[in-house]
This record gives sequence, structure tokens and C-alpha cells, in this order.
Amino acid sequence: MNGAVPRRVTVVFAGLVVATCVTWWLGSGSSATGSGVSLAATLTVLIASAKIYFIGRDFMELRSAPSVLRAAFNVWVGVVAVAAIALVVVPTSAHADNKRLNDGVAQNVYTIQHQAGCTTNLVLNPQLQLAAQWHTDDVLNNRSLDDDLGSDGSTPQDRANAVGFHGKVAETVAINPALAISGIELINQWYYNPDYLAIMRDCANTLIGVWSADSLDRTVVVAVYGQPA
Amino acid sequence: MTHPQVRVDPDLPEFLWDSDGVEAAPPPARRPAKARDGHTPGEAGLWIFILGDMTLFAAILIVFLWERRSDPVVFEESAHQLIQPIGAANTLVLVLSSYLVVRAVVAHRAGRYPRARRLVAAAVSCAAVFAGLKAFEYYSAISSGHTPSSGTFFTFYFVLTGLHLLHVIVGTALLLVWQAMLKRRRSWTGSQKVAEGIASYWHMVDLLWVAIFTLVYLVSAE
Repeated sequence: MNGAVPRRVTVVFAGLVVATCVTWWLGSGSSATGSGVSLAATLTVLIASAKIYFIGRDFMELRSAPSVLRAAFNVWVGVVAVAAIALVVVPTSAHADNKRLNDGVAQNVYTIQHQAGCTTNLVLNPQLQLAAQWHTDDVLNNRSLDDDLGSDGSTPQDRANAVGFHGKVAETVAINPALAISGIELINQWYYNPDYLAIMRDCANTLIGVWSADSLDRTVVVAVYGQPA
Repeated sequence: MTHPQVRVDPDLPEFLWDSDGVEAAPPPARRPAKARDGHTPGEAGLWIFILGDMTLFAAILIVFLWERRSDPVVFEESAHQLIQPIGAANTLVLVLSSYLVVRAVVAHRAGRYPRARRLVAAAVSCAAVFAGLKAFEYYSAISSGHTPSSGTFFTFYFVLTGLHLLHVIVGTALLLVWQAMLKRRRSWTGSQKVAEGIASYWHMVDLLWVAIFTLVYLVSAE
């Protein structure tokens, strides 16, 4: 033992430096959208976990530590890595999120109606919601769609009729090329579209159904507004 | 073997202590068991504290990621307000300091006190650079209107980095204690537990930062 650090430790140090640069590059270099995001995030977490593992093994000298201590440390690294990847990648809770978003949309439309002078109430309608859901799923899965028309050429009124709603309907659609959309972003998108603003301000629309769904790189929100027959 | 106490089982009779003797001696029955048992760096009690601390940070980070799911867009926008190059530079600075501490342990073990002192001093300088960059980061965040009360993301950001900075400060104080011991040329046998404990604590500071940088700066911005 002449005071020279084992080569293994120096190699680990060099590896940590390289890994830090790689994760940083992954973070800043990856495109902002697309399924590459969750892959990059998973990779980033995995690399960081490896870094932490080696800091423990070779810097803390857990390599030669009692197995209990080594195991406790490794369990920590494993549990945090798995939890982090699960929380970053698994897109569910989307259900709860979408419900919150849907309710928020109805509330915002109600506010806009009342700012426009409406004194009517706005009621959530399950039939309209079903019509909204159909179109949401259609637009989410058919990327050529970007407005009211369905892949089968149906109009909002056709779909409302199909679910048994015979009053007059109108529809607003939002497509966001990302995993999610915030309620504020959404209502801004619609508010600054004159056609959509007119629909949202129409006091005759006293019924509404909202649906939203997302894939990794596309979020779709559809609101169907109805007037009782 | 110029420092037999490093490699030789002190329980062996003294006549087996020269290097030939170690190789030639038939392995005593309990040696394999001892090797399997391993060596705990520092005090065993310290490791309860270190693992507890790591678990606390892990819990906060997981709650952070949980909260992120309810508003990924806002978290992403907020994470983009952080200065990523500073976070990355600080990661490199702490990794370097950790490496210097490993080298200091090796030097201290070999009785090379001046060298160990220089290495610990260099690690302390790294800690100072880290704190300086952190201060700049806080300054620029707060001056552009991001305070601990401006949204969930920034609450977590300030709590996590603030707690971590506290650990950096405590760790720096411990490094200085170790340096004072080196100045008094305290032998490795007399100071092993303390020196190893301080080193382990410092490595924990390093690895916690790796986790914070990864999840708060990188993953949230993706």
C-alpha cells in the first residue's frame, strides 16, 4: 500500500464524469416531444442509478462491506430507480387527470358563457360525453384527423344523433402534440379561435359533454355542446 | 508489504506477519467467515444515519415525481427555468470531490499526511465551488420571480436543494475536522473510524446530488 489509489477507483471516476455528460446531453439534446421522451427519461434514470451504485461500491468501499450493508444500499438504489421509472413512464393516472381536465373544461365554458351575459345553467350530459369520447378516440388514433370530421366522414351532429341526442350540437376540438395539455392552455386555444369562442358563448348551449385522452405524443380534447331538442 | 497492519489479519500470531508468512500460513478456520463479513467503513451507527438520510431524500423525490404526474406541463416549464449547465457542473464538481476524498483516505491509510491534507483541501475547495454555483443559481431563480412559494415544482426544488446544501455545509465542516486530524498527523489506526465515516458521509452528499440533479433538473424537463 504505497498511497496509490486503485486503478478501479480511477476508472469509476472517469465513468462517472462520462455518464454525467451523457445524461446531460440526453436531457438537453432529445426532442421535446415524441415517444423518445420516456425512453430518454428511463435511460437518464438508469444511468444515474448506475452512477449511485458505483459511488457506493467503490467510493464508499461498500464493495468490501458486510453483506447486510451492501444489500441495504443496493435495495435503496433499486427501489428508487424502479419507483422513479414507473412514475415517469407509466402514463396512467391519466384517467384521474382527464376527469379533472374534463370537469375543468365544462367549468371554464360556464364561466365564458356567463361573461358573455348568459344566465342559463350548463349541465353535463352523458350522451354528449359519449359522442365526445367517440370523436376523441377517433382523432387520437387517426392522425390525419384534425377537426370535427370523423374517420367515417361523420359530423358532430351525426355522432350526436347516433348516441340518441336529437337536439342541435356544436363541437370544439383541441389536439396537442404532447403527452398532456393543461386546462389553461386548452381554454386559451379555444378562446382565441373565433369560431370556437362563438360556440362557447352561445347561451342556447345548455348541455355539454367533454372527453380527453392522450398517448405519449398526442393529447386530444373534445367538447360537444348541445341544445335540448 | 511495508504496512503489514493493512493487509494482515491482526489476530494472526506475530510470526506470521511477514509477507511470506501470510502467503504460506494455512488459512485459519475463521478467516473465510471474516472475509465474508467484510469491513464496515466508519462506525456502524453512522450507516443507520446515512441510510436513513438517503431514505428521507428518496421519499421527497418520489413525492415530487408523484406530484409531477398531476401537472407534467407546468413541471416541465418550471424545470426549463433552471440553469441546467450549472446543475451539471455541480454534479461534476461533487463527483470530483468524492474522488479526491477516496484518494485522501488511501493517502491517510498509507501515512502520507501532507498528501492527504492537500487532497482534503482540494475536496473542500470543490465544496466551496458547489456552494458558490448554488448561490448563483438561487440568486438567478429568485430574481426571475421563482420563490419557494411559486408553485409545487419550486417548493420541491428549494426544499430538496436547500436540504442538500445543508448536507454540503455539514460535510464541509467534517472534512475540515479530518484535515485538522491530518495536520496533527493522527495515525490511521487511531482515526480510521472517524476518517472513513467522514468520507462515507461526503460520498452520500455526492450521490444524493446525482439523484436530485437527475430527477429535478433532467427528467422533469424532458
